[in-house]
Formats: sequence, structure tokens, C-alpha cells
Amino acid sequence: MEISQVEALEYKDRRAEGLGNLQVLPDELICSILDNLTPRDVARSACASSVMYILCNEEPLWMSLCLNRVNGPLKYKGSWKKTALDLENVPEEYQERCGKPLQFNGFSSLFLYKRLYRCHTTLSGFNFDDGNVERKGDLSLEEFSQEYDGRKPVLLVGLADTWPARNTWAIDQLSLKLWRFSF
Amino acid sequence: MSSSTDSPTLTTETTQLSPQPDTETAKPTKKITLKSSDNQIFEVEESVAMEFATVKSFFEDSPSTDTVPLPNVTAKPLSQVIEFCKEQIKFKANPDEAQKKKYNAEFVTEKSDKDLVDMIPVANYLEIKDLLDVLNQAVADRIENKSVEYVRSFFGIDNDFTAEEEAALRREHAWAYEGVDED
Repeated sequence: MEISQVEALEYKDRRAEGLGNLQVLPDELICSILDNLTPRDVARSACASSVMYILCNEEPLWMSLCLNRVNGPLKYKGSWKKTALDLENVPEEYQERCGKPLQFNGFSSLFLYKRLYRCHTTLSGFNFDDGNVERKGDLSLEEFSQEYDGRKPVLLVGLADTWPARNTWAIDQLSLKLWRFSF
Repeated sequence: MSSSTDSPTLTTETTQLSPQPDTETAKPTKKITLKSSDNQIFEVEESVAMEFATVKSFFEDSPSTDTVPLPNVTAKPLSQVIEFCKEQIKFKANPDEAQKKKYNAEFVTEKSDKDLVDMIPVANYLEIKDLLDVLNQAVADRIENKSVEYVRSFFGIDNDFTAEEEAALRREHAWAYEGVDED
């Protein structure tokens, strides 16, 4: 009990001193500046302050660093940061401990939280197709505006039936074409 | 003739009869007044002001205003942003990618570190995407291959790590510390 009180008192907002002149920018802008750095620069920037450490250890940042650099097939190593270090030919010993060992309180970011949430939320809660909504294929514009628009919900079906991907992205087709790659 | 409502082909070149605000072809001499947060007045050509998405939508909402207040923007970065947009208008009229690239590079090269960082929130607030991209890249370029101490002083960031934390970070990121530029 006492310990948690002491901890609560020690919470301070790190954002201002941890970001310096960058504090006037919203988090998403700071992140887009970091996107333009090289992996080595990001790694050093992480050592500038606690807030920079947090921002420079974000997986979406390392993902875009990887994708901006990669030229050909990419081997994912379990995390994007690790993948980026591997691309940079960083010695194995550093790749092994490239996690995010330090934790800091006193910094919160709605932008980072929303991005994280989007990556990890499931879409099942948004599924409204429980059989009650009418399904309709080949709906004409007139019919839609007369019968449904603003009146009752309708699910348009069959729109993707003719997509080539329905056949070519099946497992047997893919393994025929891309047999050289392991998934 | 004056009561004709649906025959735009019959209207002449005179603009005084057409009050609609979305005319991109409006007389180039029309001036728009911008007022910075430190009460400086800037008179810019309409075509330049329309580069600022924020100002543009301000005018679409209230076309009769003659002065646009910009409460988040101070005079110095605003004048630099206007200078940039004036040039971009010329490149829009006469597309020349090489010249544009050259101008953009020179524009950021001659700016101080502080000017660059000060312009980012202005470009963001006024929603000038091209400039924002140029500035983000320029800031990233300035800390490329620089030491952690340089990055801190560049942004005015306080080192809020404990001595142990900093030592651990240096060990973890030693690969990124090799071969950085002299400060």
C-alpha cells in the first residue's frame, strides 16, 4: 500500500523534457520524422531520453524501416525490430537482446495506444451478419434507392465472386507457383 | 440575362457576378490576408493561400471573410512557409521535377535547426503535405549518423535516464554507436 503511494507520487510527466523542441509536435508527427531515419539512427535516438526510447522501440516504426529497405524476399524474425537488425547485419549477440527491457512511467500517448489497439483487436465484435439482414445479389441502383436506401439494411452478395484471387490464391495454386518459398 | 441561373456557358470572364468561392481560376491578383498569433499581417495571393488546406476550408465555410486568423502560427515560420508555397505554385504551373527537388533541397539547407523544427507544426496545422514531407526528411537528415549527445542538444532533450539505465542502453545499442560523425 505504502509502496504504491510512493510510486504514485513519483509519477511525473516525462513528455516535455524527454522530447525537448519536439514536444510541440503531436506524437504522430514525431513518429513520421523517425520513419525517415536509418535503423542505426533510430537505435541511437532511443538512447537520448526515456520518451525517445519508447517512441524508437515501436514495432510499426521498425516495420516501416524494414519495408523501406528490403529488396526481395524478407525473412521475419519474430519481431520487426529483430528483422530490421538482421537486415542491417547487426551481430547476432545484439539481435538476441533487442527486446525492450526498460519500462518508464509518466508518458502516455493516445496515438500509440490507438495504433496498438488496432493491431490487436478482433473484428468479431463488429460482425452484424447474424442472419437477420436481408441478402441480395445483383441489386440495381433504382431498386436500392426505392427499397433499401435509408429504409432497411441490406447485404450485397456475390460482388467478389469473379475476382481472380478466389482461385489463384488457393493453397494448391500458390504452392504450384511459389514452391521455392517457405511460409 | 442577369436572371439566368443555369447557363454557366453564357457568363463572361467577369468574376464579380460569380460569388462562388471554389473558383480555382479566380483572378490571380486577389489577395488574402493572414494574421499570425503575434498579430503580424501577411498579404498573400489567393493561389498561395489555397495551398494551405486549413485556409482553403476556412474560406469554403465563410467566403466573405477578408482576414484569416492563424492562432497557432507565429510570424517567422509563417513567412518561411509562404515563401515555400510561392515557389511550389510556380512548379505547379511549369512542372519541372529536377528544379523542384533542387529548390526544396536548398530551401531546407539554408534554414537553421530551430527554423526547421519550428516550421513542422505550422506545415502540419496548415496541412501542407509536401512541405511536411520535406521538413521531416530534412530533420532526419540533420541527425543522421550523429552521436546521442548531438541528438539531445539538437532537439533540446534532457537526458532523464539514470546512470545504470544509460550504461545498459549503451551496451544494448553498441552496434549503432560505431563510426558516428564527430559532433
